[in-house]
Amino acid sequence: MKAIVTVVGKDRVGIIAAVCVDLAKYNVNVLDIRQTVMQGYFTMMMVTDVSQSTCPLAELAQKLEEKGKEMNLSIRLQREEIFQAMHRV
Amino acid sequence: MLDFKDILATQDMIDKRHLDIRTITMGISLLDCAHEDVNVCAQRIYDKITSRAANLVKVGEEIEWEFGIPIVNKRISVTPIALVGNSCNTDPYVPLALALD
Repeated sequence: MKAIVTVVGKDRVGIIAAVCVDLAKYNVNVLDIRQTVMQGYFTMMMVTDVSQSTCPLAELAQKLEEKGKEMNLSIRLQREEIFQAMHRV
Repeated sequence: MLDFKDILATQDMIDKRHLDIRTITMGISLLDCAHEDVNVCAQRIYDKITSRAANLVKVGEEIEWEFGIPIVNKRISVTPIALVGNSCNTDPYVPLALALD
C-alpha cells in the first residue's frame, strides 16, 4: 500500500530530516522523492510504502500534520488512491 | 506514474475549492426487527442500529485522515418503517419513531 507525503512551506534547515525521522520510526519506506525550492518556498513529494508501517495510517497522518504545524509547514500523508482516482481514468 | 502537478492539483481542489465527500451512508435493514409487540420491535431497532453503526463516525474520521479529504455527513439509511411496523399489533407507532430518534 502506497501513500504520498507532501510538504509545503518556507524553506529552512532540517525539513527532509524531520519528516524522514518519523517515517523511519514507523517503518515506512521512502520509494521516491521529488523536491524543489522556489523563491524560498520548499515543496516536496514522497512516494512511500506504508504496507509495513507500525502505525495506523490515520494516526500517522495526524502525527505528521502536527509536526508540520510545529515547523510552520504543511505536511500531509494521503493514500495514493485519491490521486489516481482524480487523475487517471 | 503520478505527477507532481497532479498531486498539487488535487491538494488545491481540496484546500481552495472545497472538494469533499458530501456523505457516506450505511444502509441497515430493519426487516428482521419486526415483532407483534411494538415495544419489542422498538428495542430491536434501537439495538440493531446502535450496534451496527457504533463505529460509523470513528471509521469515517479514519478515512478522512487516510485520504486527506473531509467527509461532511455520516448517515444511516434504514428500511421504510411502515414495512417493519406492519407486524405490530398496535395503533400508535410512536415507540418506533422514538427508537429511531
